[in-house]
Amino acid sequence: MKLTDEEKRMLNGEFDEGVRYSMDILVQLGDLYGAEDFVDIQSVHGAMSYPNFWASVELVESFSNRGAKFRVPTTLNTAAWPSNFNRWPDELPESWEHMERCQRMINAVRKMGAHLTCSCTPYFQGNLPRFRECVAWTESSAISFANSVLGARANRITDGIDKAAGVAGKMPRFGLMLDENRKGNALVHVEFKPKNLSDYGTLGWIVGKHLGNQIPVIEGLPESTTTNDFKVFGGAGASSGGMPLYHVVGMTPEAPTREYALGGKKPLYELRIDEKEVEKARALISSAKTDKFEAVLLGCPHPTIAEVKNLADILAGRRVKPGIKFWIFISADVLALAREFGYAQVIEASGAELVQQTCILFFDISKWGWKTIMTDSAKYANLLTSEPTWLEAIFVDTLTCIARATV
Amino acid sequence: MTTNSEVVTLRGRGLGGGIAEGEALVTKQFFGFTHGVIPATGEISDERHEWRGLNLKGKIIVFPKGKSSSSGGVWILETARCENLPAAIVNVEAEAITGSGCIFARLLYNKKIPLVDRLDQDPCDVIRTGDIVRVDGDAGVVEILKRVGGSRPA
Repeated sequence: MKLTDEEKRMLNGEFDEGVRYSMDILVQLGDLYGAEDFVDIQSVHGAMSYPNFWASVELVESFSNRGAKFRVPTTLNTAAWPSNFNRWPDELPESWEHMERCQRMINAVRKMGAHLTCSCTPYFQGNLPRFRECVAWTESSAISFANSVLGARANRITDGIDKAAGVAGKMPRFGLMLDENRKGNALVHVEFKPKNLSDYGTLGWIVGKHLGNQIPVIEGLPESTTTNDFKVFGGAGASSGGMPLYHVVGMTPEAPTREYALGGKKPLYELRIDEKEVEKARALISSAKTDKFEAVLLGCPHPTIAEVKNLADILAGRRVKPGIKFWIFISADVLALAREFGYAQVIEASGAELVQQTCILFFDISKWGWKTIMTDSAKYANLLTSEPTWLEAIFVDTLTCIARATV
Repeated sequence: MTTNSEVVTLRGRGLGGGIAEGEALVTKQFFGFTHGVIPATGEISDERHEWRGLNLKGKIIVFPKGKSSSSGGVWILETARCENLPAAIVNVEAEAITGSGCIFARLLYNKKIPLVDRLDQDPCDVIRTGDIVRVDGDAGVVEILKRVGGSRPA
């Protein structure tokens, strides 16, 4: 890699040990990718590593023990426990060891200067990159949003690289940071009108499933499509097939026209999604063979305040059926607003719980005796029915979830 | 691929990790560490993989490409911490998650795993499970020293 004088000094330890360590990692990563040089990054959305492993703790502490500090604003993805320790162990039956690992990881990134937003929607918590800005983000749904909806530049990276990038303020230039790698190569015609967020999830799941490693250019989404719809669409697509970047003609910044989004080339693949295709996908995502379920899981990705108000409006005056866990995962800022506006109180009066700053994927739920969950999220339905949980999922829209789980 | 009377040699890209020798475990299926291996034992736990139930500790594992899951790096790292790493990894095309895992295993636990890809022959075709193989992760060279059952390479 070509290094500037400053980068050489960073690598030689002329700054501090944290910077030297981080540059050492990033140069090795750059060599791995064949990167020619570094780019400056403007923000990090970091991950809490898999909490079942001590290696996860030792990885993040290898930075904090060196006194490393984040040089760019750094938010943190959903994490286990940050503000839910008081629920332990009655409601959240995990081991002490598990909790200790989580606490140590949180302490380490706090010491390094991260904002403990602990949400999968950093762009709603003030980490909002501009068009063409390079960032080092984790969380597949957030990467998809940053690249596609914002036109920022983010590669999929693994835990640890995010910390190194934040400390150095740099990333090797490769992959989606290069113009030539951002053009679409597949064309998707949507001939179906999505009616709710779950429909956008189903569409994303289909595109990811068929074109996961490609860059789809999508046509036919209705004018009414919102950024929040894209949040759900991209999250589902990233979970079923990767999909770190997609273009929507006339809606996303790198797709003013179909030709521009495809870079003037013919697409390698073409996909048509009609009502029948959507029906087929719904049946595949909703894999459960039973109508019985132990839990309802909403809030994937984390909801906006408008979504929470909608939930409060529907749940008002209803009661969650006995024996059913009804969890809504939510970011701390949206929960604070929801409480200020009274929506949270309405939701909690129904017996539903708002579980903040975390995600069901952090819990070892395979040990909880659940067999079937109900969700309005195609991403949850997709991930919870595979390794390591192998649950059954009932995938229906938000209204149906509430209708079936409450009286 | 060059052949002499003793060894079959494949040449490609070396992604570091020094030299290791061991018995090969070969598949044509993609393989991922995330939920694919039990780090505490080295046992392969991916229910849908033909390697299920085998142990990768000390083996030269040969597969086309890693299943890219962004948490894969930490799974390799935990496997390193538990001293159950494979001896080396040979891929058709290595992906960065596996590579990142190898970088951190070296830095945190001083565990070197030679990683080689882009060879002049498909390693999943040429190398067979049970072959004794030497992998040089710095030079990007894979040598089949002894074929399964002890016969010399053809």
